[in-house]
Amino acid sequence: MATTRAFRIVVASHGDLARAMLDSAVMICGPVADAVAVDLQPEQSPEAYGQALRSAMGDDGRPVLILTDLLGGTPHNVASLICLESRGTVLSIVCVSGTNLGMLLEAATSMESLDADSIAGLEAAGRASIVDVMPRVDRSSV
Amino acid sequence: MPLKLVRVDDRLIHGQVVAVWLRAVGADRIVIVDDKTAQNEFLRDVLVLAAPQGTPVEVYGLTEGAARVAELASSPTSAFLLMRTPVTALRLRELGVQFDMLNVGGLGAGPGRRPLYKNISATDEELAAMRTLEEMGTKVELRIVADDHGVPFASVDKR
Repeated sequence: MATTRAFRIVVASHGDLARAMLDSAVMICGPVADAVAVDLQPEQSPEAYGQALRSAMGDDGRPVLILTDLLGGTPHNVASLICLESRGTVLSIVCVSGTNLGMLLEAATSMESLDADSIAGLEAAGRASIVDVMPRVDRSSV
Repeated sequence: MPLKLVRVDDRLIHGQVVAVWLRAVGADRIVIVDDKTAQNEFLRDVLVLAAPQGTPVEVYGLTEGAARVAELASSPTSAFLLMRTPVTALRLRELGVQFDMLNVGGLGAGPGRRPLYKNISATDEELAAMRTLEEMGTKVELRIVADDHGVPFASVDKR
């Protein structure tokens, strides 16, 4: 896929989930440019994880979307600290929790800039991919 | 209401706490007592934003924290008390906060820290604090996640 996305993606997770999720996204939409996975290892300190996140974010000033696996988990907390600390600077860093593959695919294929509308769109894509099947079946068979 | 759980965890709120302990304990709110966090707006915001919706997080320094816990003891809300080190637990106890059990779940390795049990390490000051707490009648239990068996501190404390 051509690298026309306006922002870099960093997927942050407990264990190997981030890497695996990126691999799974590639399986669906082809190579995902400018996206990095940062896995938290069991013995890794939040400080060391923060360094790994920062180096994955790069230092070229490109906007960064950090997608985290679990609200309140260490990857998310470390990412939101980086995000909060960037407020008021020229850096544009956004952190969204509860990543699922639907949300990641939406982000990976996004052609929009990283603004409030596109972030709302990401959240919507994530929520829209959560569906309880049976009630739908029941409704459609009535 | 008495405190539902008093826990030492150097990461304060994180995955194990949110996904396992908070659910197992069923507390109305999380109260964090930590001077460093109370003084840092960013750290405070991260923790407030880290809890699931509907679970308020309050962050206090030591003195305000002791007062708040005392106030909550006579209110109908239940609280889950979190701190970074057993030294804070001892200071709270000395300030009159009552708790029969201290859960020690997250104390990572690092310079000046000796392994105690599984991946729990402690400094000499923290070991001394846990011993004093036990002498004051607070049982100190090492337990990382709710499903683990609690291990009494005294059974792994090699003085």
